[in-house]
Amino acid sequence: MDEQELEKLRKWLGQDFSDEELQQVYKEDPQLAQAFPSLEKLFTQTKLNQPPLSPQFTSKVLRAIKQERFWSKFHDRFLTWRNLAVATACSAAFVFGWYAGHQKEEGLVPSVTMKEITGSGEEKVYQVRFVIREPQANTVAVAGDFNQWVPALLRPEPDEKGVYSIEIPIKEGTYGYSFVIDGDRWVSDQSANQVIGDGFGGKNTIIRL
Amino acid sequence: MAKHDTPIQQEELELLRRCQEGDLKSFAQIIDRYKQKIFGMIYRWVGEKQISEDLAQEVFLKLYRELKNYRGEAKFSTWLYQVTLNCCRDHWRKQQRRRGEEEFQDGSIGGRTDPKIEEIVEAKETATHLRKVLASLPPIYQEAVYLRFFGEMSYEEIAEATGVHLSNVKMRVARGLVQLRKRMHLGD
Repeated sequence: MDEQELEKLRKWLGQDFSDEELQQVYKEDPQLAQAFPSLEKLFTQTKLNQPPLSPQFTSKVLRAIKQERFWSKFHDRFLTWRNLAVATACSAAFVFGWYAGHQKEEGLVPSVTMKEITGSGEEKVYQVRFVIREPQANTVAVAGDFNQWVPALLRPEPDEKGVYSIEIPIKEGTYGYSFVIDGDRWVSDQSANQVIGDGFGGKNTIIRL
Repeated sequence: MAKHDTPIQQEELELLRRCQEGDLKSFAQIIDRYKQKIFGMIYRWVGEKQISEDLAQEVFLKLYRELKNYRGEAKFSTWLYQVTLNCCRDHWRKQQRRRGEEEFQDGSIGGRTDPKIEEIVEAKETATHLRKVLASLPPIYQEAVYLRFFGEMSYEEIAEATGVHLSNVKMRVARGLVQLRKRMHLGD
């Protein structure tokens, strides 16, 4: 390897290379020095081909940092053991409440809806719909002042399993009533606001029309 | 503090100290100072503008997160290049996994059918071609050539950023160029 070749390699690879290192490179590839102009052109063209960075780059990075800082502060401030304990307790209370409500719904949650069907004269008549969910029952009836306490059988709802209903036209007034499950179990309407003692240790529900 | 004895480095250290205290305006100055270089390094590695911008953003985010740990033992720029290098490596590994390495192992890149550089007219084609050939090199050579010629880093800076001994860095760069020349049939 002559001095000229050595200098060519040094020019491109840099002054950091010792003579021994350059000789080693030459030994591995004697053509490398000749290829330097082409390689240089190649690198320059590649550098020139670089597209511009978008002008919003800095603001985008800063926005991302601000977001990250916000969540980090949120994390430090709110995700403490104390807060987690409170959140857990609230969640448990919520689940319990939901479960209790659900249980109630699954059990006995009757309801009454009504609409006026005649408005003529002094006496109004309402179409009252009694609904009860009683999945375990074989028969469900409703009895009250409006039907002289003669139980009227409710029909099972075709689309909802365990739900029974009946519509009865009733004149305006205030009435007590109860549901009768399987012919012998009298229960009040637990969704109603007002109940009254039936004089036999049980309770009747009050409906005002 | 021997490594930070120039006024520019002292000023940069002061900026970094303010960044560590949470001053975003100072960090914006740091971004403005280095964004072109970081983006350039990544773009020449990745070759796609959007991905390169996303990766550059990731670099600065990582930098901001890690800034509290910076004690000034290493030159800041070296540390920054290290973070950039790691991002590029991660991206490269993910890409390799995705491609299953089929593209560069089937011989199509290094084969004799490749056009010579003189035949490549368009700068864009040249860049794409060079990137592909570089990507076909063993990672250690690929990285060394990138950092030296696209990152414009000194051998010492590369040694610091990669943790590789200086003499090995020099030989990696030289061998990377040898392989590049052979695969592109330059100077044959």
